[in-house]
Amino acid sequence: MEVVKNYTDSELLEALRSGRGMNPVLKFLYRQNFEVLKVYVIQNSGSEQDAEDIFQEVLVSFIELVRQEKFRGDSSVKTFLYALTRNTWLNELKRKGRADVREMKFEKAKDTIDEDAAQKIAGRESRKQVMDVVEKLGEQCKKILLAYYYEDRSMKEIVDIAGYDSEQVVRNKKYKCLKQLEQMLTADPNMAKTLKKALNYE
Amino acid sequence: MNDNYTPTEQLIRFMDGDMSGDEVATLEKELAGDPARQIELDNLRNTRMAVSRLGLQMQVASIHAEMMNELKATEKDNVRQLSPVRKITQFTLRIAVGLFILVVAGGLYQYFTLSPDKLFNDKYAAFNVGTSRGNTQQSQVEIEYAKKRYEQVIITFEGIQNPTVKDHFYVGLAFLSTNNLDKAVINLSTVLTKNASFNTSEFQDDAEYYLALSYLKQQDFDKAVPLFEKINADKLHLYHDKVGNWFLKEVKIARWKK
Repeated sequence: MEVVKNYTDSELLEALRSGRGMNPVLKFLYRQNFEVLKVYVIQNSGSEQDAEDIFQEVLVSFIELVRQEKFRGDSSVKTFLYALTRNTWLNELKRKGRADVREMKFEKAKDTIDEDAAQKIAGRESRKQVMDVVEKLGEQCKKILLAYYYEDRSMKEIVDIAGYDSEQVVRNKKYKCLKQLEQMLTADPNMAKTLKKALNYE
Repeated sequence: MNDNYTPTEQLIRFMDGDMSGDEVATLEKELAGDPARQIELDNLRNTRMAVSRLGLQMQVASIHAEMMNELKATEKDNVRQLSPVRKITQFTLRIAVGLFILVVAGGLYQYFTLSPDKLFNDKYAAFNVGTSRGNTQQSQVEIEYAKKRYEQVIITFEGIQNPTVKDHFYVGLAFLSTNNLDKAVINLSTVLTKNASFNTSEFQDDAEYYLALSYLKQQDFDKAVPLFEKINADKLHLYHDKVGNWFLKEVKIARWKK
């Protein structure tokens, strides 16, 4: 049976920054926050599915903001996640043309705790553009780049995972994959700008 | 700078932290004077960040599916655990509401049907002459009363020059039976007055009870209530059991209605 661990805010932030033991931390964030935030979305013209989608996006943004040191910790994690959910959902309502007067008033009345960071959360369109860029890579490229940059695996491990003959082959493949994306961005400065803005919460 | 690498490979090695200190210093110097390479490095870094985001999204998505199962199962468990409690609570509440409605309906019925006549009829029963109290010698008034010839009781009483306490008592009852309430009150009160004067207690409890009933029928609550209260408070009173707390409350409600 899985042992459910509770985290203080500082333990939680430390785990997110280091990237070690992420799954228990994510589970803790779900147990602590999902139901409350789901209620918020549902009470504001959303469905249960909307709540699930928004919460996933909020968690991704939150972890990235923490890793980029853009969450100053002026508010509790719980409060910050609430602000992120609110902003993300209002952006989504606006995008759908469904943000009514009540919601707009609510937006104006919201607190200012860590609001700078929470405000910079990108809209769903920008996030989609980011993923569209990555999706242009082939499956093999994604596998190698994810293993190297996200899972922090060594070249030797990737040889086994991706089924290549040697580390040099993997290194060459990784180079080509990165170059492919880099060239796409160099060829389209607007896309590069949007991508940078969305990734860096600028 | 290691010339075995292409310029892009050098940027990737720089980004990945694979360069030595000297190589880093040399590249940084080159980058400072080459905006195009700076843009290339920027794009490579953004590419790496985009990949990391994809990884994070995939990890969150995998946990999401797991957590939705867990949270929904927990929700179901909670509902299942709460169900019997809710059922019991709802059942209890229904009973409580039902009882409340019955009590209120009963109370309203009592209130609207309550009247001095009803209270009188509930409590009045003709005095049984066989129950001898005090003087055992039968008078003519008592004999007529025993035969329930109330008019004859009154006629006989009027022919007596010095009526006794017993005569006053029976004629009082006869007046009460024939609904001559004023005279019933006078004669039953006389029983109490004479007992007080002679320091006797002949038909005392009976007279108090029937006098109280006479006042009640007259709707003279200011006189009826103290008498009923006295009977109710005195556990040794012969009519104590007939004047319970509930009856006393009903009399007071009737007074309030009036």
